[in-house]
Amino acid sequence: MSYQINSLNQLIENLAKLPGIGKKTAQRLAFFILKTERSEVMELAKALVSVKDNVKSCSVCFNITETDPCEVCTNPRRDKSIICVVEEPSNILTIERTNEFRGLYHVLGGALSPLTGVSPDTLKIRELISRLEGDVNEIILATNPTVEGEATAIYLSKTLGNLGVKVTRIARGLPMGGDIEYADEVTLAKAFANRS
Amino acid sequence: MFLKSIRLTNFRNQSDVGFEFSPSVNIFVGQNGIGKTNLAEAIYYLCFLKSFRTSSEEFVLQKDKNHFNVTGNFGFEEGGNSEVILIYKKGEGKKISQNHKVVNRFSEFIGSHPCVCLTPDDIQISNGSPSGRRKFIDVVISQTSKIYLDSLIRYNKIIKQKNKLLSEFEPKKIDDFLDPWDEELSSYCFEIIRRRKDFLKKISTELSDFYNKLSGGKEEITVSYESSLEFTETQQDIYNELVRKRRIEKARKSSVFGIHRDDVSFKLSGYAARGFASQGQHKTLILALKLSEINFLKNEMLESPIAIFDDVFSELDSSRIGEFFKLVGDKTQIFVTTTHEFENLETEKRIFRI
Ligand SMILES: Nc1ncnc2c1ncn2[C@@H]1O[C@H](COP(=O)(O)OP(=O)(O)O)[C@@H](O)[C@H]1O
Ligand SMILES: [Mg+2]
Ligand SMILES: [Zn+2]
Repeated sequence: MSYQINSLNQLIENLAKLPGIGKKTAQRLAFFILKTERSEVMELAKALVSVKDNVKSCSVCFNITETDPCEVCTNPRRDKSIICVVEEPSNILTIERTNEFRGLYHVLGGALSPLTGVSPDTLKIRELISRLEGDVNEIILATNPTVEGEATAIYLSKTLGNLGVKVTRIARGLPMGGDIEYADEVTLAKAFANRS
Repeated sequence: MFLKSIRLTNFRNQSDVGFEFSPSVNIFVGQNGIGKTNLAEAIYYLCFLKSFRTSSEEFVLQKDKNHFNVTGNFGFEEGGNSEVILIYKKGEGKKISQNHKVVNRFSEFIGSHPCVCLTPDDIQISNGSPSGRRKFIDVVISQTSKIYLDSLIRYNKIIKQKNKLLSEFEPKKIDDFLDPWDEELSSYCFEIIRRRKDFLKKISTELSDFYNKLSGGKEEITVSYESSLEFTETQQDIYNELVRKRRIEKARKSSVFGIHRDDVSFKLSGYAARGFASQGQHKTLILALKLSEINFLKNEMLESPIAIFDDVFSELDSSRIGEFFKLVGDKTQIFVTTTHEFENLETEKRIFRI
């Protein structure tokens, strides 16, 4: 650009940091925001800040929540004997939509990956093990069916298996190389029913 | 399957050309440097979405242009058509569509348009290093099996993760960390070895037959899989061996056992082709191997593959070439590039003077 409009450039640069948004899309979004009513832009800005201020992670399961512990952990109707282990909070949303699972969750915060510096110590594995002291008798591993998710599941099934808890893995029925996020609800529901 | 027509824009030295092909033999004739291999490369692109001579589209893009296109129309034996459009834009990469549907994962496309390709460089399959032989079998089997291709992709990702662990951490500390990767690795390793051996077994008899038909001799060609692992009967065998040999990998700080280190051995009457065979024997072996590959794909898939022969017949006379085409079979569409006309070649053919 031969001329510079600072505040516009700043907005474009910040939008371009979002995942899946390139420079071009960021520009389109910025110009769209420029044309939008001030009140609507204000609403968006407030929502952005509010999500940062009010959403934290549950100290028990590390799900995202506005109350601590989260609504799943405190819901008396949920089965406290089963914990479903996932990589990210977004995976919980996907599983909840199937209405097939009535237990509790545990969010690891990622999957094993030496290349990006994720080792068993960086994941919430110690925290998961400490939850086993309660009434838990089954752990369902629902890490993503990526090579990293599989390695994490193998690591967990050995580590937890040694502690005498029943460990099952859902993976079958998910598309090969796929991601839990992309699995449609029917296959995911089936995967829960068929877990071995 | 056959390619009915192709259109290229800004592809190497071709600014804008189109061709209508014969379902049997198509011959591109022209002097060196005129652009025959470029056409073969474009046809290959339609089947594999990449080149056989470069991994960078930058080189394929015509100088001073910002995009290239390849469009192909295929007809299937089972009925139906397929229009494949490949567009490369500088800075944006490749986009592919098939029958106007976007192809998101290239790995899902591979095998939908089976293809066998032979170029002068392929002599390395017989006389070069193991990586060329692995690549050869991987390209063939990947076209017949999504599970194979998926396993390969995953296997290679795991090797990268494992090598990172081996290269950066204290050998004493990493057994626990390595373990899940080795276990996962062993499952893909098992699957891949099983399918590679199955492929070699399926082509082994024919390979000898084709070789002797081409050479007029009576030699026994044997082909065997040579794994870097000793015990590969079950996944558990592989896992156990990886664990047993872990100290070697830790000492070398790199993963050295598994399908990425395996090899295939070709023997001519008991002698290893690599090192013993003459230049002529290597060439005959490669031609026989490609014929076996064509038959393998015919047997494993619904559609027969198309076959590309780039500049590989310069030493054969027309009657030998005619016999070779007969061995390929008339169900397989053939593309040939050559600098000299094949005088008196009796095969039904269409000639394109480039
Ligand atoms: N990206 C490119 N842009 C323009 N011309 C190219 C490009 N890449 C290769 N060429 C030209 O293509 C010709 C080589 O074509 P090729 O198909 O290999 O010839 P042959 O007929 O001998 O097989 C050379 O003249 C080369 O300069
Ligand atoms: Mg050439
Ligand atoms: Zn919680």
